[in-house]
Amino acid sequence: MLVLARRKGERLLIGEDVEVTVVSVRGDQVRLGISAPRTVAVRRAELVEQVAAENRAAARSTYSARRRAPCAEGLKVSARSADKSGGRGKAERPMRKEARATPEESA
Amino acid sequence: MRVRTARFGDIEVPEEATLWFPVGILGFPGLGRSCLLPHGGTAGLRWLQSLDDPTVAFLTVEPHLVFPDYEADVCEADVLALGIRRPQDTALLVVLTLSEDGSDVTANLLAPIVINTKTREARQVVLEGDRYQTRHPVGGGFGSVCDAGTRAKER
Repeated sequence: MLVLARRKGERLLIGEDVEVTVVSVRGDQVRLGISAPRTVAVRRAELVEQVAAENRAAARSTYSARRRAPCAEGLKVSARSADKSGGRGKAERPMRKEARATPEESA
Repeated sequence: MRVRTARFGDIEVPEEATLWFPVGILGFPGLGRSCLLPHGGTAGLRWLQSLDDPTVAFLTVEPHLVFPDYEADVCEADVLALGIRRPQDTALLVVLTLSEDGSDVTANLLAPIVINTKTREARQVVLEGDRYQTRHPVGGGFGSVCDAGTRAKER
């Protein structure tokens, strides 16, 4: 990681298109101004990391809760393709005997 | 096409259900090719199943079914990256996290998945501001998500 010291008002030029300005420094908080093309997303790192962690938890949760969480029913290995309408037809039997949360059942 | 999955075994999925995530989603950069699977009869719920890794799948929901006031202010960079030309070419999904017994559900409203319905390209975006978080409780748990989906189907 490149580490540079900057004072208030000073700028960094990153690549051809990104400019970072130190707008103000107050205590341990620095206000940074970012100029970047519209095509470049600027995001707070801790948010990105939090989302990544939540995605991992979400994927794990559906695997570990799979006995309770209804699965994609009506999708079988067959020559017929899956019902795109979302399983409206009941022609297919479920692959597993899983509890299926219907409006009548409470979660 | 036949898809191998850890949760559902081998399943048959139409090509049209395929999505392409050019940079994956956060934490899963290799997600790449995925498909959207219908949930067992509940409209609005979709499994997002990786085509390249059978163990990776996410339960997602169309956010407005459960959060009618949800406003996803997607930044310009993300709209451009997805090549979305008109708002009606956009579909949103939010990722759900279940509790162990499957009864409690939270939705990640901070980082919706945005789909360009014309190109079938998709990305997960992180919304600006602090209005939303990664875990919004879905009141009524899983049942209410299914209820909302059923009501949507009936409309």
